[in-house]
Amino acid sequence: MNNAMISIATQFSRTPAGRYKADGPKSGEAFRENMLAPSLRKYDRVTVDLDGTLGFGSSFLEEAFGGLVRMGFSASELKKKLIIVSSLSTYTNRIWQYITDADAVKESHGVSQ
Amino acid sequence: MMFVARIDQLLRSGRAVHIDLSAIEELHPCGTLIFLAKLEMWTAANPGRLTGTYPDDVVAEQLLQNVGALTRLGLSARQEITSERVLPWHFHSGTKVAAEAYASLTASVLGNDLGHPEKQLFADCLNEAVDNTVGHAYKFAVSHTPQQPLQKWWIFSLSEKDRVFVSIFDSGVTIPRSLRKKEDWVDFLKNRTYWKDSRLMSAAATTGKTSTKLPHRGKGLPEMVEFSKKLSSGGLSILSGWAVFSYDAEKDAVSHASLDCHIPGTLVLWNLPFHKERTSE
Repeated sequence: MNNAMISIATQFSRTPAGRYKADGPKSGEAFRENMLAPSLRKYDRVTVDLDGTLGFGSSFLEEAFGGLVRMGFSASELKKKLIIVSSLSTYTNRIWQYITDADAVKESHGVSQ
Repeated sequence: MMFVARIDQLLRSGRAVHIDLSAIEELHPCGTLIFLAKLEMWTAANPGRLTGTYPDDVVAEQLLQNVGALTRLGLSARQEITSERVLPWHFHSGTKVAAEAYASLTASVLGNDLGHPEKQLFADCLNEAVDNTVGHAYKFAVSHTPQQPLQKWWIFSLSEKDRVFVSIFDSGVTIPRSLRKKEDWVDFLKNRTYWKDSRLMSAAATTGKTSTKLPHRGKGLPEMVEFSKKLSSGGLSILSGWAVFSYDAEKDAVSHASLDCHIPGTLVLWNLPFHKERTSE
């Protein structure tokens, strides 16, 4: 099993914020497209370390992680592959809630994998 | 706001405007932030038509120099910034959600004891407030909307020993007007035509505990309110258009009211004390 570790603070930005790439340079969309999704495709398990940043913002987190579902990953697949590490449990809980919510929306629209 | 409206009016009529700052004794952050934002818009749209006079008060001059206001009025920077009353003030602005621009503010708050069980979320709230501006505030134009390069957010902050004060301003569409255009709110408000802007803003700022039951609402304001609810004192005020919504942390009370004067955009005033935490009830 090959694993990857992503530290947002050291590998992406100490100041991540914003939803879309058009909104700002360190957005959730940019993180998902440039780092998170490629790692999830390449590795069996990906650990994302949230510590060390100066905050995020719910738009960043929703787009980065909820957006994975909208781009084709399923919630069940992410539960097997994705590990979130944070000293603040609020972040971990929120991220899984965003993934679950995005999955529910996808299900309700009848989108198949 | 009458002062700002008067300058707007004079510039619109093609006149040159000279702003006499000599009598300034004290600058209040909320009014100063709107003035600074408007000054940027006025000078960009009316090059060479705005001039000014230095404040007599050295502290006022240092502050206005430090935030670039005097230069915009054609006055050169002649003071060394030394006043203890000026150094804690920081001014930031931008058109994107680029948290690096105000990282010094975020770091100063996170480096202090904010008296909040999850103080890290301060940065999230701030980022989300800026994200609201970039994503929503300028979605459609109204009479006071500036040209694209000036569709910005502005932040003025004061870091003191016992508190941090943050004000955020955008010159966008205002929250009530924006909500009245949103599809889900249009439906919701069909049977609530009697709702004033202030009540509408209160509904937008409070979370799922309200009666609205609307699924898609902006996250920025409710998150700020929720965060503020875990403070022991201080609070949050949001002024937008003709309405104000406030949360008083000491009284744990929200309120909303109509304003006597129109705010040309949205102004968030956030007062966060250090060192004290609300005891669990």
